[in-house]
Amino acid sequence: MRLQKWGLGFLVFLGLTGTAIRGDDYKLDNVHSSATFKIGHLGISWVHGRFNELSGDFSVTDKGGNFNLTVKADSIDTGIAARDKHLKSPDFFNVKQFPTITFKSSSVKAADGGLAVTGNLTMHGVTKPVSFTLKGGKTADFKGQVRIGYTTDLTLKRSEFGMDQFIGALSDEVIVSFSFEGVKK
Amino acid sequence: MIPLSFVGGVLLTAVLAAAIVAGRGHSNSPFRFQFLAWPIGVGLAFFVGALVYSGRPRWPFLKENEDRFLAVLIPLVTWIEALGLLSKPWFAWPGRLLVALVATPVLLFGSTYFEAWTPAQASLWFGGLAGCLMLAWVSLDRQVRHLPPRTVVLGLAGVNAGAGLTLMFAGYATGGPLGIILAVALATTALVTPRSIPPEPLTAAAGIGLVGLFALLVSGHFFAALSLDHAAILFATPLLAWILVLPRIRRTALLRLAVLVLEAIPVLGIVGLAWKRSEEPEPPRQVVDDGGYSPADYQNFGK
Repeated sequence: MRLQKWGLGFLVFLGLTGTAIRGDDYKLDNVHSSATFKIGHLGISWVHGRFNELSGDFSVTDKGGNFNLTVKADSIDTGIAARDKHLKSPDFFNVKQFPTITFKSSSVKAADGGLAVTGNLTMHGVTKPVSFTLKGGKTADFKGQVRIGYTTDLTLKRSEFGMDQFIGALSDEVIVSFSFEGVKK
Repeated sequence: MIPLSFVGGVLLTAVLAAAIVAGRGHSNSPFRFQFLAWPIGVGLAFFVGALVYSGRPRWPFLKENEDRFLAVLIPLVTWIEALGLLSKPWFAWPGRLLVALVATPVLLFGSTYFEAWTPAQASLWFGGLAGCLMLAWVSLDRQVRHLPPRTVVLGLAGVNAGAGLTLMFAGYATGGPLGIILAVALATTALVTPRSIPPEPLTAAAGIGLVGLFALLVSGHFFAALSLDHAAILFATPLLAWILVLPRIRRTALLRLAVLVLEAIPVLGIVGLAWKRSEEPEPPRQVVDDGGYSPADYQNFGK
């Protein structure tokens, strides 16, 4: 009887704090997700930018999950139209040739505070394995829809993806912050 | 600051083009074999200069427009022009038609245009651009035969250099210098060409320069921000030289000067306009009128 009470209490606690609901499929909500980046300029400051169009599907299970995320390269936005044009050209992303940046997970495991994710990142036509920890996994019930959110920071070397122009003026390392919300299907 | 790789590429292109044309073989070897030095001089010198400057083409060769330009189009047109010099003059034209037909699809291969365009749109673009390239090729071939041939090639070099600068102002900073390297290959070849040489080998050199110009402009428009009007004016600039046929200018020196000046005017104009456009202050970002929105709309976004 005492055990049942504890169990009931634990379930109430889970419901209040919004811990992840496992074994569900989610669709990425572009409105409440963001992929931002910063790149060093002349070694003295950072230029910030973002991608405005994200999409994807993912599932979270007790054993891990599966993530398929896509960023539209053409949606790059640094706040300066001329710079965005240059970033879209073959000097950098070559968005007409490589319209999307995709991530497909190959391994997702539970980790402290979230999920340890490994997978393949394809950018500028080059696919490289990357690993990162997705922090979060809390859920919220919003107007009858269950939502789940994750966030991560990772550092990429753009030269490894074939974008090696202007290294020196612009840093090779780019710090990417990705935060996304999924709506349960 | 000008990158060292660019300076190296330019110097190597000039030295290689001059060496190939100047050292084309013994004077008693058959003319037609000597002529091969012109297309090989321009094609190889440009290829090597581009490789030194940009490290392209990169493996896999079909991945990006610049790789396809350097690894597919330039060798193809060089080979066709060389073959044309070894056979009867008309023999080059089927090959040139082939280059004109495949140039745009090769440059745009695997890009979003292949998915976005309907078959009708693709046919219009590919067919229209092939037609433009073919017309320009016929015109250039005639110009080399009817006007001072070395000056025609020098004029084409100037247009290539202008296209390169325009491309840089159009947000394709690493693609533009290829136009300048190609201009150096053409100009060096023209300058070391003796007056006694008949026009045939220079038509071959000019053909490579024309395909290079076409590829730069197509790449600039479809992959960067080169406007169609700027691209069209630059591509049509060599046609201006035909004006000089009308008054029948007798003095060769005057004719040469007139060809270069006539072609320089639109090229400098477009470079200036492209520079001005790149310097223009940005219009303020549009502010969305939030009068029609409510918090409820925002809360329903993404569903």
